[in-house]
Amino acid sequence: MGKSFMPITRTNVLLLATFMLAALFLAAGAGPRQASEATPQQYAGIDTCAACHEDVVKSFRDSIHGQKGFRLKSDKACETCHGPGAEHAEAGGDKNKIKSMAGLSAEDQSAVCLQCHETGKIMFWAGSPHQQRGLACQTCHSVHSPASTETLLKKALEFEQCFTCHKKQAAQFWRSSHHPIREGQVTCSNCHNPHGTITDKLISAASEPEKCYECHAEKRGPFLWEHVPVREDCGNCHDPHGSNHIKLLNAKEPFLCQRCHADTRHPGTLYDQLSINSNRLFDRSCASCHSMVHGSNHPSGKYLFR
Amino acid sequence: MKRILTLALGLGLFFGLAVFQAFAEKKEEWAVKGRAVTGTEIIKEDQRSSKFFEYRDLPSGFFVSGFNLSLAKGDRFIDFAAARLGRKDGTYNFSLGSYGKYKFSLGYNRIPHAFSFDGRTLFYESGPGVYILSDSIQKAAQAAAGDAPYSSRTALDAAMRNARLVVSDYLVGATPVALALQRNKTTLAFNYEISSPLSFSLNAVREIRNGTRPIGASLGFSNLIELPEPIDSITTNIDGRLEFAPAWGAFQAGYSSSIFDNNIPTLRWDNPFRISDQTYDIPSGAYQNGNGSALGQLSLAPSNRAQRFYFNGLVRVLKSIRLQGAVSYGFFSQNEALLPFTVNSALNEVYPAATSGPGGSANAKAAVSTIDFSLSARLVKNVSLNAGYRQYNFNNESRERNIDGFSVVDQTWEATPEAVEPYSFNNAKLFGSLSFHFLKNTSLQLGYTRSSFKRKLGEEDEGKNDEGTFKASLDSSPVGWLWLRASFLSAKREWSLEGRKDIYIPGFAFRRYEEANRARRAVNFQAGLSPFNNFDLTFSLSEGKDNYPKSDYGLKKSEFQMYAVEASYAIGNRASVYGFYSREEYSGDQASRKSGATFSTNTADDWTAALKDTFQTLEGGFTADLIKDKLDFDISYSTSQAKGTADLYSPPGGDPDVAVNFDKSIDSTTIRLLKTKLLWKLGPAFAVAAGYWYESYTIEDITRTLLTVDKLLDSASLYLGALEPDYKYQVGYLKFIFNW
Repeated sequence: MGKSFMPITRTNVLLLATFMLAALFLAAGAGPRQASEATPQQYAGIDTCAACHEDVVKSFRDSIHGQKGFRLKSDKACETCHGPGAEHAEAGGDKNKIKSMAGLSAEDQSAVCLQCHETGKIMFWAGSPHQQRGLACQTCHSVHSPASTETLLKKALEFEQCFTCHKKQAAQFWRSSHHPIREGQVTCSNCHNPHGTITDKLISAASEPEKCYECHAEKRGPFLWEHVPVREDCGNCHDPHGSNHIKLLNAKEPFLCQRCHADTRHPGTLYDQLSINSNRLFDRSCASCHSMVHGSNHPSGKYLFR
Repeated sequence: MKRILTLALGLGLFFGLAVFQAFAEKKEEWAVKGRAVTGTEIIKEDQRSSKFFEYRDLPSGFFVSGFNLSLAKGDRFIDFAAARLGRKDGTYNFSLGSYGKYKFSLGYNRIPHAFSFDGRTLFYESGPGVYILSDSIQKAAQAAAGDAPYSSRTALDAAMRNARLVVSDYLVGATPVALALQRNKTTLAFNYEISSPLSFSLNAVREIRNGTRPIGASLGFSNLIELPEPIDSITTNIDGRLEFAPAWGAFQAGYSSSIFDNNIPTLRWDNPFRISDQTYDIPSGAYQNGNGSALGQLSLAPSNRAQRFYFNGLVRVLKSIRLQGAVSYGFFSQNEALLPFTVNSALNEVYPAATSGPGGSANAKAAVSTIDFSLSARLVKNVSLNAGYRQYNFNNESRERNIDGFSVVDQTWEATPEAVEPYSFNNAKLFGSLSFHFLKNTSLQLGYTRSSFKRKLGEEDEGKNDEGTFKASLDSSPVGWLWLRASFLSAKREWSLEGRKDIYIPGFAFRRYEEANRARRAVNFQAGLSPFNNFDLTFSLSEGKDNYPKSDYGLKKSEFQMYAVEASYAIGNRASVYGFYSREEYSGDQASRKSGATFSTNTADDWTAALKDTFQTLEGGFTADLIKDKLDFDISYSTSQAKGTADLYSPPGGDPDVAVNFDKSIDSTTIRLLKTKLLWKLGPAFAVAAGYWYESYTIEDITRTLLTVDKLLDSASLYLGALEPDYKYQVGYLKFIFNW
């Protein structure tokens, strides 16, 4: 669009590049991710840890963190996260001389994990809604006693973890019109990245419609005749977490359509008990005739009939 | 089936070779772990319904519900996991790799989607997307209706009724039609860490979708036809990215592509009421009754492409400063051949190119770009800042087309020149927030976002939304047994056109609700308590309200309230009980005015609708280790009740004179699920599970419960009768679980 707030112009791209270069320049003096001021003598080693924490060390060794690939990142095993432990061991297990997650703030807890994990899908954690609301990695994940082995979540199923806080979605899970979440075919992270994204609602795509197009690519177009609210936001008409109305609609047709279409002829007509058999109310109501409601590619598709 | 066998063979070959290679190396032993779950299942069907099988395949008899095999040696691993083997909802995943170096995964996932077991139709598919009827039906109906011109509107209506009576008689011969989709998805993922900071990943998904689903194929208000829309499409999504992650940041550069191929882009069907084309000029007659064309034709979803280049960056500046940026640029495009304006040859008499124009192809293209950069920093010990700018731009670059007119449902010619204009929009926002950390594990966050949404249709400025949003939240966990989360949001949105804000139409003021002036308020509160080691209690309260203060019509207000309580109690170390209850209420107030062809100025023609959906969800369960490490018992119950109501009103004296409210709730559903399981662990390698579950569903819907194929006489519609009725199912199973 020519009049966009910050269109993709050469000037703006240059501005952005300058921003990124400035960031790089500022970062030039930053230390390495795993910088440590500890000396080798301050580390106790995993076998020393196992002498007292046998079960914990076993669970660590059995987990993904206990695999050999971990050593490509760090050769400090337990002390990668808990810090040097020699003093703790020598003091007979003095809890004040070791980094315990329970004693750290949320930010510091996350910082332990982000030493290695602030990449890939987790590179936008800083400033993300979950980070800002005081959650730590350890709020959802457990390194030593996870209920799910692959993602180390505290709950066995991903949606159970999300429903710990998201009670509205927990209730919507049971709606008659739903995505196959309770059937185990779709899960929260198919659409959301809880670790942070550039898109609202932690959608893991450039926009909410673009996330929907990943599975519903037939709705993408562009169409000859576009239906404007559809193009902008699928959420204008649908609730992806579940609905009592067919097709995950936000409200029952024809009333949903009449929230925008309130003008002449049948869009402005009241469909009440007297019109219970009218094909403008019955079955799929408006969409029975305006079946190409997501956009039409037919030259006579102005009214989305074709 | 052939595809499944080919895939199974491919997987088996690949897996076999990998295992062979793995075992061929003698130096180090491979650790082998696995699990197989097999058994038998009995299903008792008290009321059959497609709704129970909507997304699942649940046959009676022998099953293999799971098979996992994991091999590991040093840093290498090979995993195979399958669930619901051989079923239409089965999943199969194979992966191999070396921890910290590479991982290759191949998956195959099947998802059924049943729409109805009850659909019936007179039509049969003569070719992909072509539905035809017996000529005798069309001839008999046409003979009963006669040909245009009709002497009056009354004569036309009578003729149409005669035709419907004829077709209605044939409907006893409607035959069952399958209304279900099958989605088969193959996934491939490859991650390779080239060197310590440099990695590459490739993800690909190919989904083949086949089947049918109901679609409306109208030939006019009084000739609504429902058909099984043929689905035969392939979607291929590919994403490849290179990531460089040094100690001081992370950078990703990637390319993604999505290709949608629709093998059936056109739907063509016979008109049950005519076998030869005609047109006529009774005022609004053909439009109204849709009995001119012998055929209808519509354009199904066009094959299309999307591609995008993207770059994401993160720079860690000092310990607590993050600079993040993301830019992307790509295209959506489709160039499907355009269908003619109509298939009604009689309309050539009105517009000579009706059945040949406009020709060519859609040549539709949109450039889609994003820009994002943000800063997250700890300013001083207890204060953090997060600020940034985001923009999403959808720039439709399709050329504007001008047409002399168009056909309406293949019946009439609307001789009004039209411009087919591309639609574009731009959504941008500036945001900033400050977080204050005080007390132990307590933070207060204050934020403000200024956003703009600009729309453009062709060359016309369609207006702009400006919205300011204030957010505050408080999160606290001052002691180990208590946590609190509270948030408040207040937003105000204004619509303007070319800088003017007060240009709502006087007398009938409203905008579409996604762009209308809006005042939004939302409050969320959540508290968690663990007063004893064995007891947890969570309480949630949410409330939201959208007011459209300048909208006298359309959606005027929507509200949402919810509260939820969840509790769990551990009885000793070997048993626990839990429960969850929530109540939600969603309401919306809207208004409209009934008008004829021209806009009514009579306020007595106004009407309002207050819609309300109320939900109650209850879950509870008990789990116990009856004999320690030997015998487990689980029982759970869930129920979700939904009820939708509409309160309609119209002032007397207009049209409608009075609104007659529905005599029951507009839609209500109840789902109940009881599950119980006994698991007997006979040793580390073997266990037996016996279980039972009961699931029921009831639906009352004023527009769907009484759906039948034949509604020709009372609603001028020929439906598929695609019911998703009530059901009651009981399932009992015996499972044998082997671990090694």
